[in-house]
Amino acid sequence: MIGSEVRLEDVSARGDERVEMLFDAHYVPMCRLAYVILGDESLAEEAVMDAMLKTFSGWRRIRDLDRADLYLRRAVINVCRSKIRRLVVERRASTVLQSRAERPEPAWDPERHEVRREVWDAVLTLPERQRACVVLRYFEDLPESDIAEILDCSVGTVKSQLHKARARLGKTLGPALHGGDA
Amino acid sequence: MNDLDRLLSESLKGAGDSYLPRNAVAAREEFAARRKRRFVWQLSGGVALAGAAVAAALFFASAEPLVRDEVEPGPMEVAALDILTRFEVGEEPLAIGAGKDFRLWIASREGGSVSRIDLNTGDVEKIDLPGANEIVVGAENVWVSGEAGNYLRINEAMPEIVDDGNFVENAGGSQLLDLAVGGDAEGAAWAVDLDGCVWELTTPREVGCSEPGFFPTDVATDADEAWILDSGRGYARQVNADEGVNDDRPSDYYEGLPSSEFGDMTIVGNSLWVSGSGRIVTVDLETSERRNLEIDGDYADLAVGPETVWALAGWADGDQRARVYELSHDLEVIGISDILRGEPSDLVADANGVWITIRYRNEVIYLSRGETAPPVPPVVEDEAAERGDVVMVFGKDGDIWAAYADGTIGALTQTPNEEAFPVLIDSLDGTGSGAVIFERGFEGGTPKLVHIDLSTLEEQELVDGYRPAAGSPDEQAWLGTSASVPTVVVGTLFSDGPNVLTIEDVDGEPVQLSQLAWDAGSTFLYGLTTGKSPGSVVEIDPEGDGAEAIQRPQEGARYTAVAPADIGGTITVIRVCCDDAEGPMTVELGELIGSSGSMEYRTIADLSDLPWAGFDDMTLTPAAGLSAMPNEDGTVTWGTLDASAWVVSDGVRGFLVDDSGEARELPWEIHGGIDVNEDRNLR
Repeated sequence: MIGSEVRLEDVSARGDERVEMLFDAHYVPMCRLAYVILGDESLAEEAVMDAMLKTFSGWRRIRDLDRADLYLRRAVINVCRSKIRRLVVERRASTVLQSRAERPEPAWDPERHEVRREVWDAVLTLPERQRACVVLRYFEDLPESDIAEILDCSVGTVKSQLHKARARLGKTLGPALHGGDA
Repeated sequence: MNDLDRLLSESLKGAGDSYLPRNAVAAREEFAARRKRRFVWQLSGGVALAGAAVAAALFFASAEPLVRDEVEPGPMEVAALDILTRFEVGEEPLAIGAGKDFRLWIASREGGSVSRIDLNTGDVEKIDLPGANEIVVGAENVWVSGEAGNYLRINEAMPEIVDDGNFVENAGGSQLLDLAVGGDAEGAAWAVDLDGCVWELTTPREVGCSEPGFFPTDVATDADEAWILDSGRGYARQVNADEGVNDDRPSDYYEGLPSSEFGDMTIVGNSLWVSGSGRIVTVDLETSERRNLEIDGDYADLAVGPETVWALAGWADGDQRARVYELSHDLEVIGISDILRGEPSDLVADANGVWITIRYRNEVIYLSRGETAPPVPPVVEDEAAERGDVVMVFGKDGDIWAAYADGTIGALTQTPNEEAFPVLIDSLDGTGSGAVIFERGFEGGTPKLVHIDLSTLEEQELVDGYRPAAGSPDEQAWLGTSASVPTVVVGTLFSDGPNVLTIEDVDGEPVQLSQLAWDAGSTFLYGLTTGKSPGSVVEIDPEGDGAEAIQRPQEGARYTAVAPADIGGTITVIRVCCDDAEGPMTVELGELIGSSGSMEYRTIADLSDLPWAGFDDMTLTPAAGLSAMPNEDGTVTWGTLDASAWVVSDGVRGFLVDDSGEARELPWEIHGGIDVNEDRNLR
């Protein structure tokens, strides 16, 4: 029985180490993903923390650890989408968390800064599902099939969401598209 | 990659790269601590539940009256709420209302519309409303909120728009967050907007806006009164307006109610019901007595039925799941459902159950304790089934289309991508249900092979970088599109062992291939060259390691399309010859007969007189004995000939030609490939 207890402890310790390794490997990229979707650093870090806890508190249920990044990305996207929905309600508090003025200036090439900023701002106005599709497609470079898996929907839905998002962004960004050289 | 794609990629990557989380080490420590706390909390939660069970047992044994502000409802038998029916509706149904005679109203923000579905007939009436997201149904009218303060008042029975709802927007209001209807005799409609202003839409008028310490987010009404709720603070107030005020109430406000970003409120008889933060509290508006019920989830939407109240309790963690409770007016749980997924988004009750919209499954379900299912919309017979067999598939306007036996055509895909080169196959999974494999192009990206099931239209992406190029009952051949030198794969791409041939040159000349065709029996494969040496035919040994010979047409002529023939060592071709100032002088359907290096050309039919739009994008497809008679309504009547036939396309027009040279122009354009269902009996 003692041997059995020792093994259980080992398994538990290895599990914790593994979770910490997974945390280290994914924390920064997931924060960036959440930041691009939410446009707010604090919210992004909060979202990733929630998603990490959600995913790795039950990590033993994950049968295929090679797919931990899929589960994690799905959790991050879901938490972000939930936060976007909350933000709509929280606008009532007259503190628009996503306001352009409050976001720190990204440190990128100033010559292209304005156009890129305009594009990102436009993405941040998309409905949460379209926004998730656009970020997974253009930030994460994921194929539509992977996006569908993450969002738990059909490839056709992803295509339709991307199509709508592009149409909306094309309309919003007309001048930037034609005048900008980003 | 077009401008928008490039801008999106650069901008989003630039945004992401510009940001580094503040302190990853501290975050990891916090994560470890919270993870541990969470584990302990989960354990203690289980203990607490066990304790509650013991306490409940002691309470019933003592039979002492419980006197306190909030009454906990006692336990009773809880029935299972079962899904009695479900049906698909439009895009992302967000809100639902119920009209008379089994008419449901569905609002779809994604679809920018509100629809009335008559469950008896299946008729759907759709009215455009950008941003449609809240819906309530009164005695005569349906009220739907849209974007930017817009709303519609629609006569429920007709249905016709009674008021196109510009008042709130014109008066400076913003998007309407919540609606309620039923106040005063005629069913006055109330609304709360995103800025905390309350509107009475029937008059219409602005009732008032938020003030320090109170920010209304929800509104509820019945015949005598209206209440507004600050769901963030858990604070409800009676609306102090000229109409709809009941001054007999002992109090016109209540605090300490559930607080939640997603709270809801309704009036049930003489009680105010408020939900949020995993509980529902009822307040008797005459005695101020409260009852409290703990429920699952972080929030609950409420709907009032004739005898019971329904709560859709969801979690705000983004997992898109919820559970339904049916409650007595005394706040006892009568029924409870399993977890529902796909983001159940709204509910409306009828006499026996509750309708729920499932946003991301595009469906409506009906839950009930009983067994009486309401009518469901009659299933419209599958259009494809009525159309009969697929006669051919082809590219058109960047999508893949099918022509059906009834003479009509229909799109199999509708995407912004460029789709072409369809090939009909039995199926990939062995079911033989019929499928099409085609190429989906992406601007700046590698094309993908996509499989679409003809009966379900479900898509499956297969591999990148290959184009369906030649099909036969036994063998498929695929043309590589991503490599700089032509690659031909013979055999199935989806199992081990296909023969991959790299065609770097033929007889020392570099070639590029655009089309492939088998001879009868799939012995040899022939490719059509493009690039620097266009218009020649390359012979490929499918079991060898490259192309062995090249068949050049006579000086000045070129082949523009190749197709299989039903004789070994033979293929059919389109041959154009001898351009002058006005273009080629002859266009012929012909065949190349023979074997390595010594193929002979023979004319089958002269097609020079057909109105060709060009010769660079021609395709040639065997069509067995298919014949077509175009009709005035744009359809065709299909028939069969005792002769060979082919579909020839110049990339715009399609002609069905037979070996006598008789040609019929198909009444639709064809861009990017055709495959004819040769095995069907179309007679």
